[in-house]
Amino acid sequence: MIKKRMLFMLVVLFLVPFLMLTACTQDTAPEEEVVYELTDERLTLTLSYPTGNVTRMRNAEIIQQFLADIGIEIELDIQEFGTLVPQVYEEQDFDLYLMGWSLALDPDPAGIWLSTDSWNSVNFDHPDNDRLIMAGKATLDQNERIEIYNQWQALLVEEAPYVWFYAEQEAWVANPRIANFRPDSFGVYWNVWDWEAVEGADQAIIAVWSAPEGKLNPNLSESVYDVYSYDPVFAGLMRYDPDNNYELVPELAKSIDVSDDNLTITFELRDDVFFHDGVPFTAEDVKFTFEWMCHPDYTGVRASYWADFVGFEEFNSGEADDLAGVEVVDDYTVIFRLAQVDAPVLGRLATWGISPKHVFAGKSIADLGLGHPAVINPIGAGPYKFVRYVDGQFSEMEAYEGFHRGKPALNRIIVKVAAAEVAQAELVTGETDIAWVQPDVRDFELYEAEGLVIHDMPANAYQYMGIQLDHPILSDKRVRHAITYALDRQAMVDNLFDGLALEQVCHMSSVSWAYDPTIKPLPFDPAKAAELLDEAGWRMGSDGYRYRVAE
Amino acid sequence: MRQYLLRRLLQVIPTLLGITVIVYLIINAAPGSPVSGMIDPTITGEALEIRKQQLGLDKPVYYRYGIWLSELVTEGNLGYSTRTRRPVAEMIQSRLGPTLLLTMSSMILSFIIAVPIGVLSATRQYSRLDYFFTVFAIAGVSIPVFFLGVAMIKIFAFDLRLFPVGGMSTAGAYYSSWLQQAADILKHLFLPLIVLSCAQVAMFVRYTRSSMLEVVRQDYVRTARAKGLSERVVIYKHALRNALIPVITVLGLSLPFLFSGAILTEAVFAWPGMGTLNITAVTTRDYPLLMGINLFLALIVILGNLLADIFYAVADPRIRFD
Amino acid sequence: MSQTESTCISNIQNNKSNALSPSKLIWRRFRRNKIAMVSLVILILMVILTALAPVLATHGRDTLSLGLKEKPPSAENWLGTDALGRDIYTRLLYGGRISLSVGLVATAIQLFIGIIMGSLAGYYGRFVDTLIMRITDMVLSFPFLALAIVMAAILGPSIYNTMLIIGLLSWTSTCRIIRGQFLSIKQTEYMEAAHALGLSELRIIRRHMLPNAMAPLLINATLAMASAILIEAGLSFLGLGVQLPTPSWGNMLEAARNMRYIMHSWWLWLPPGLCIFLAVLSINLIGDGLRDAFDPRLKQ
Repeated sequence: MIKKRMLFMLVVLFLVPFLMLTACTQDTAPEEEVVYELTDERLTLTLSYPTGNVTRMRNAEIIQQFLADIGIEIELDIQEFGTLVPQVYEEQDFDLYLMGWSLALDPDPAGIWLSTDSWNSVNFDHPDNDRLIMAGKATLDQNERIEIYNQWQALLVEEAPYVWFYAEQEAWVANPRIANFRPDSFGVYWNVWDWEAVEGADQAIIAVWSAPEGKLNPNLSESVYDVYSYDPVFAGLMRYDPDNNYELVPELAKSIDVSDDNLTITFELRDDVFFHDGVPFTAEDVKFTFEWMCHPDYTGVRASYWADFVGFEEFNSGEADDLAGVEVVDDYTVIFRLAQVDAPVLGRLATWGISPKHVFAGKSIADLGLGHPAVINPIGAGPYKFVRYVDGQFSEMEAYEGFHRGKPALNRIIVKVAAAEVAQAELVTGETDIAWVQPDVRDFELYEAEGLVIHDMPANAYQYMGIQLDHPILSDKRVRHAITYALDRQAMVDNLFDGLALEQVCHMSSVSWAYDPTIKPLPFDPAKAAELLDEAGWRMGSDGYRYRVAE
Repeated sequence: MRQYLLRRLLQVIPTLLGITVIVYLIINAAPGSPVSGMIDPTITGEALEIRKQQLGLDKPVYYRYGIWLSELVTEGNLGYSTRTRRPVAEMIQSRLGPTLLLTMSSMILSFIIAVPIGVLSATRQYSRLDYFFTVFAIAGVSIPVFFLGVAMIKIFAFDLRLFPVGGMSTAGAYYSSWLQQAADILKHLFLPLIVLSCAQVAMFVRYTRSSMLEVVRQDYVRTARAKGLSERVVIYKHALRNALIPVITVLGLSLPFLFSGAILTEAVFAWPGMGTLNITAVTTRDYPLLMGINLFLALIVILGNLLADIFYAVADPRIRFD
Repeated sequence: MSQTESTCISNIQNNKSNALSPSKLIWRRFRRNKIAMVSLVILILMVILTALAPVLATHGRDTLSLGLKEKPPSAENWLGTDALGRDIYTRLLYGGRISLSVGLVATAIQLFIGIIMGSLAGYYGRFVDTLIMRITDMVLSFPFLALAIVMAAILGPSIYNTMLIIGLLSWTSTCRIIRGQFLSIKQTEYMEAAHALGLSELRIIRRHMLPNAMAPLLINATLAMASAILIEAGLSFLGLGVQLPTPSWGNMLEAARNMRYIMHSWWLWLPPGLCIFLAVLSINLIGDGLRDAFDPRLKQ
């Protein structure tokens, strides 16, 4: 027994210095004659990522391999989505994490990148960051905003708080018997009144992947699946015209007038609009729609959209009974007043779906959130009337003859629930006319062989890796740049997607007007990455990983 | 007997209570909350805080459980789903029908198919037929449900276009008569039913077979044969009746597994039942809905067990109660 | 006396016996069951092959080869490659290790818990017994998968958690069996005699109860292992079991979710599906064979 123990100790005693010797005599650059003494601190980082997106999970493994090639050890930490979100965004407990962002129509990045009160998980608080973002909000001039955002993106590429990976393609596949179906990266219903069935049944069945939550009203909905089920039912004061570069054109309003200081917006409303139940539309409905969201008892999450309305604070805290920022001048005139210039707000308030006041009157605002019948069977002034919602299965809409621009050509739209795999099969068997599909080259071949029309476009979204800027190792910009240089993002796109994705350079989506095609991302350059890591004090050990150089 | 019944019924309540406590503790132990999934760059952190307050999430666990329990007992109110803000009872109600349809018809179908096969297998023990059925039965319980489901979709729905790919009814259809509606639902029910029943049939065949084997060795069967009764009468009139007793009790006891299998089947076929609702509720941490669903399922299962026990006690006079 | 007689007497005197011990008898009966024997061979083969995975593998387990995505079986990749270019044959071997060991460990856990609970219930009786029976009721009353999903959500998806979850939810049948054994022993004259003789109860448990319990326990264990493998496959399919990059037959089967993989790339899902099927089938058939072998009433 004792002999064994002594033997063991002798072995250990010999082994340790031997290992240290070999570790220390690692050669780095041939010109340098200095031998670096390495500590035991290995360059190890944890990459956290959620379940639920298979491509992202595969990406994690690819990242692990790329970074191992330059000596960074990555430990993969997979979590369930609902567990990871608070860990990342509330506790900020991560080194690196993978996630994606779905972007809005307006490119304003405040919600994600402002240093406070946002989804800024990485603790990015460069002084120019907030300044540029706020400047971008404070002007309505698109060219000015483009200029500002270009500067802001350049800052981001330099500071590297994220590594941006890719924007996947989105694809809608449609049966050609539905004419004029023209989806784009921001939605599918832009021209829904133009849709037509050129053969077969007078309806279109659209398959989406998940059941709606049943909050079928723009003020309450929190899921894109609800939006698909109710969007054609509601109309706003204006609408975006996809044929006209998404300019705002009148819808329920006859005209819009914006004051010189951009703080007062006056709408003249049409007097020939009726809700689906026959009640005429007036300015009272507009005021009601917005007061609902600003009310202290409001159960939804959109209140912050209107925080710049005059009198928002007073109304939202209950001090005032009236929202001063929305004024009803007469039945067909309404004035919006803003406390400060806010570029994204204008587009939002102009196109927000108007809810009928008379349907919701009589119940307190708090109760409106709890399964009010008009939320499950919505009534609006849009081109389609809501018919019924069968829980977990489908919702049905019917063309509205009283629509102020005329009855739509397509008689019925049915939005049904079908898992992604099932939707694919149903497109081929004809049980579904239109479906959102995973973009995949071989699937596309199949669809084309069946005579289906593929609409694929870049998504208004991207996948990225967040880098914890407060981390002792990662706070060094050279390390962040090294990580970026070490990842071959174009190869990821090519190999994970067969080309059906775009490399994402920075925050702005390629389909947004704020996109800057001139920005150059840090290229794939492992040699440069190695060099930067050396500079930053991390040298390659004998086991292929880097260790911190001793002082 | 009556005493036994009363005792069992009374025991249901603490069992259910225990289940609710355990489930509540477990799901609250899960990291994350109903607002964790709401990752939307346009929603401010403040809005999320307000939402948490509205959902009562700022109160401690036992407090919330107490509220839930008192609401349930005094008003029969299962609360509101944190995700959809609709009454839990309403959500369960709309999904319960499809699940019951699938599971109950599977149970009945399996029983009808399995019993004759089991009897045949037992009476011709060690014959080739017996071996075939035995292996077939065991194979049935060995195939992963989703594997079989996907394969069936590919063959019958996709290649042969005989059945619809998924869902419970043709979307947006209007029926001129309830017969038409029933036919549509049956068409959609067929594939999931087959898939779910495979394992059930296999299990029942084995139980029937072993039960029959045991009964057939009994003395009274030998006596019946000696009396000159035809084999058919002996088997189907005397032996089967007694052999079925344990099988029927197994029917009741198999309810939990039936519901588990239904979850996967519903997922594969997009069947709008409680299985998919349950999965969504877990991933979105929808506590009230989870409690409601699990309470309901537990209730059904406990009642199933109770009925099985009662039936067994009634049917088999040899049973005494301890 | 005859040759036989003298041999017998000398055997008895030497404490030898020509008669077969019970376990030998059972083994002999089992051996006659051709199907069960074939299944045993298949299972052992599977275990050996997967245990030797590092030796038999042709590629690295996790090595990505982005340029070789979804290639059909070839000389280079015997069973083709998956969506990230990883060799399926290699991952099948390693995945088998995971799936089979999950089955084994989960069964071990549930046996452990079940035996303890059953012993407590059977030994102490009355209040403890009722309490434990009610607990088993509670555990049984759960649609298994529903609770498994919840627990996977809490503990996080991983191999060890999957083993734990399955083990924690399946111990009820073992418990019932052990308890039944205890109850029946309690009522026999064994106990009275043993008490009279001054033997310790532990000894009775060991020498009389356990051998009797072996039979149903063994059968139960085989069936439990079969269902554990199936459950792991189900959980991995739902994304709640073993996580990538670690392969398991269940999460390899997840490829079957995509219609295109089903149609065009059968090598992605058919091998793991068949492996699960074969493994579970063999184990079930072995269990069935054991049941027949243990049953003394079967005609020979």
